Amino acid sequence: MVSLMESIVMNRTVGEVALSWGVGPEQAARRLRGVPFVVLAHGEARRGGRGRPGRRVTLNPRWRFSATAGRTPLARLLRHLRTLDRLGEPFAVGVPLTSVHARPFLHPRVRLLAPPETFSVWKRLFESKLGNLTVVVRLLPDDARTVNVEGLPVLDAPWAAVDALDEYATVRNVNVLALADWLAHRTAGLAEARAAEVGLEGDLQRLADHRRRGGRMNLRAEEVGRAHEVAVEWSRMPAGVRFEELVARERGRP
Amino acid sequence: MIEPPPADLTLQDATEWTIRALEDEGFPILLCGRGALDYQGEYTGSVDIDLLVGTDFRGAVSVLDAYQSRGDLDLGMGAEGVVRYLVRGGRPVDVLDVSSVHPRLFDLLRKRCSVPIPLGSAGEVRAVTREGYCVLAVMIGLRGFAARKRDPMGKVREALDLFGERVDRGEVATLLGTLGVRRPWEDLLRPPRDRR
Repeated sequence: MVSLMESIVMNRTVGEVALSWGVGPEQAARRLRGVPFVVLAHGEARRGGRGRPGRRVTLNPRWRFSATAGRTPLARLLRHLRTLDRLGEPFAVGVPLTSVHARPFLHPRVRLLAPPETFSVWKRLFESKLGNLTVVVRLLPDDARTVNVEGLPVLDAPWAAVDALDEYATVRNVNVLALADWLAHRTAGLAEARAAEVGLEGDLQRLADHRRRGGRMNLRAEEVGRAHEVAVEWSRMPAGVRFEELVARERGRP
Repeated sequence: MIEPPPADLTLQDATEWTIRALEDEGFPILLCGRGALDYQGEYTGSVDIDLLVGTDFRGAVSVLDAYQSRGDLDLGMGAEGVVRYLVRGGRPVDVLDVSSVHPRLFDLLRKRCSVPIPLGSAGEVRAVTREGYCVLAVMIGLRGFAARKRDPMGKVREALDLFGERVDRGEVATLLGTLGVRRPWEDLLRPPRDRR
């Protein structure tokens, strides 16, 4: 299935997109009209061609997520992301959506991961600061895996552990480190190559095995201890709360 | 007693239901913890809901015990001064008592650092502000269940990392002063190994 974002970059016709989706052009056009940043533009008529020129998938140059987010930015962002996922767009969500692997929590920065081919479009459309919520776009590594949770492509557990560690380096929310701790204990050894790529292998190993000493560490022992305490507290809570339940708090704001 | 909670409920439903169960018996409550701040424009990372009971904590617990007997709630693992209820077996709502921390703490929070927020079927509920969160967390770190933790003020520091720029620190100092905390509160926040 062809990527919608890539189709925008390549300025493909609706017919080409329809073909890749295995639907008719009208059905494809209907789906595309549901994507707020897509405009179906009539290209220039080819010399010697007959009939109306094919409609092309183009980017609405004025659309920015920040301008349309309203009072419930997280809820709106998730709605857009679910639409893109349903259309088969390759991307992944990181912290805080990856907290669904443990106990869901909100966090002031949402990490989206986009493949290199469409990274610039993602960044242009979605990277923003909306009041107390920031959306950041990072590169999605080629071999990253995702699992679909609550209609979103969430980084799978080993990748999510490294993503959480990476995020903790920017915003020191202990829940994020607790998430990394939770995941590191359950996925020991599965993400070390990725952690090494971003210089976090020492921290990941320390979270997976608290007795470990030596190696390059960014985290302090106190931070690791506190994060582990929080993860243990979570383990005493029943699972089953969905991330979407927390997003409902945006609607209650006075 | 109020009606049983809905069968397929969310954390929000569980919060509203527990508040209604307590208010039905006349217990004044305050929404506190990070969850309270998430309702005021923050994204702080609460995984549960915390409710502060103003008077007669034992009475409030006995009210909820009746719902537990009816099968609406399970008892989870709490801490000193905290009873965790799992509404319909799964949604965690913590009920907190701070009377032993300071007898005037609840009233101070309610009168000077809380705001009303609309909470669905529970109507308008008062929730602690950012300053109220800091006052409560400092007091629990000084005299509550967190005082016995390795880093009693860890939660306050984390909170300030997340939303400190939107906290009126002078107001927190004033409020803590009225509760008898004389030391500058930011001194209290130093990590254990940094303290003299």
